[in-house]
Amino acid sequence: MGKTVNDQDRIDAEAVDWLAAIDCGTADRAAFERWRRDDPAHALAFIRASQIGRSLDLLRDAGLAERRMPSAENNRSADTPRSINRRRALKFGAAGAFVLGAAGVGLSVAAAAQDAQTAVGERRRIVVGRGVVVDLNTNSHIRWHQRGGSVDIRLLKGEVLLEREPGGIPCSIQCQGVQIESAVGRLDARLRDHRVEVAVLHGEATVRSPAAGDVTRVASLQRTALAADTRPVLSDMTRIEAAATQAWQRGEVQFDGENLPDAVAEYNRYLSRPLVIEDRSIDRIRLGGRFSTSDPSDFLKALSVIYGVRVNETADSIRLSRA
Amino acid sequence: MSWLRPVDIWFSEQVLPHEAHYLRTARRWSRGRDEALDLVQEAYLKLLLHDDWRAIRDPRRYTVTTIRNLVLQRIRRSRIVAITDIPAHDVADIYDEGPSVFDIVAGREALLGLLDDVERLAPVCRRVIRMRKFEDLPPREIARRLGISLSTVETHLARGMRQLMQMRRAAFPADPAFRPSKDDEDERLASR
Repeated sequence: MGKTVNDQDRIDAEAVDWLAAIDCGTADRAAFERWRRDDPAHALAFIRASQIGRSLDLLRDAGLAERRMPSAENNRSADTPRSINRRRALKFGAAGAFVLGAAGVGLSVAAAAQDAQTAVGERRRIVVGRGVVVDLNTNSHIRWHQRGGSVDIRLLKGEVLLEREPGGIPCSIQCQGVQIESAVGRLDARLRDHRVEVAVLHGEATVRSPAAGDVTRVASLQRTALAADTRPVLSDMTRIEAAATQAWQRGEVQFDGENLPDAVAEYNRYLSRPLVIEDRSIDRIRLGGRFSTSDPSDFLKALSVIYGVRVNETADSIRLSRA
Repeated sequence: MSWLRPVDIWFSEQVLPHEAHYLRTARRWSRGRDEALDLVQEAYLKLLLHDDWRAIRDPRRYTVTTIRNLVLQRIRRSRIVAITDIPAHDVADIYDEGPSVFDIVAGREALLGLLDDVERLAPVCRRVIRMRKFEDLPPREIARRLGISLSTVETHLARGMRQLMQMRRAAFPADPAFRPSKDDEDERLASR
């Protein structure tokens, strides 16, 4: 049977004490682990407390927290950068670790030459240098090293979101002979079919391919796809496209009118049990919406309910056909 | 390094988001709010102790099945639970519909509800929570700005988070799908 209300209150109090101590850097890891191991109810209370912390972060990131902050009371002094609430702020140390951990993203701090990979469906966040954070999307691989106060990242597979905060060390991404230099801001780089897709979500970047020779500037909300033998062609992104590009960071995949084969291909990047279209007559379905990268059940339900697609789940795949 | 273990991350991403659904299901199979909360809590603890949690293909459905098994176990073990209280076909049939639009809206509303909860915190806790979470200031910086010690910041953070946790727990039955209708309650009382 469960705990009494008093037991639960005590456990909740202990969980938030640990959370605050971790956040303030005063927690003793061994003692914490003992407490957590002691009773699964402790682990559960800690998960719940962490999740409230994570939800508060989400409110900030979504800009919802700002609206209700009365200016007279918000204590924001002139030296606090306004932008800190406007974008996902970089977080370091134990505080960052618990916040990011709650989001299902591991955090590690890197030193010299390093290598990091993610499996299908996995995401990972790595601090590659002072003020530079890389998020690895599903099935991705990077290698990086610091040299003379800057960091060089090699994108070998998959997709990364690179964020360089003000004061962060210079950084560049090399991929398929293409070089991307990031100014302060956030960009997404994805290796797809021997081409590199670069989307600047905030700030700016420069790209250079051997074919172009010279450097091309990519401004905020612009993107380009280039390979070793092609020149970059820039296009503008809408806010919706920019949000869709980085949706994976929130564990979501976002569609806006893609046809079914494209949507399925995109979804399959995250799934260990892939979706398979068995019937070409459903290829022309176009769909929109936001879905969980780890759980395609909403997506399948939408296909089934809205488009009458038959979903047949087998041990190694999920097969889609006309009902 | 995160202080959350892989099982915790899995649990918070795959199991907890469907909490409203578990509570609704457990409510259908139990005689009251407290018993439903208790069943869900017990199922959670079983999941957290599950050695092979990685092999669970559909955590949401697995949780519902765990709750159902707990209900059946309780029926078998105790004669206190009259069999008429729980529709047998309902427990036997674990048809588990997908997350409804309600669940998605409820998730969003819970998030906004949390914002209201922050507003209801005691002034000092509210100020510290806002500075830490909404302005993303490091604890040491908060201590400096408010002219208090780091350990006082820690105390206010813990106190604020604890109040938020209590408010969240109290908000569970506010979920209209979880709250049984008056007729439903009357019927159950009459059957005792």
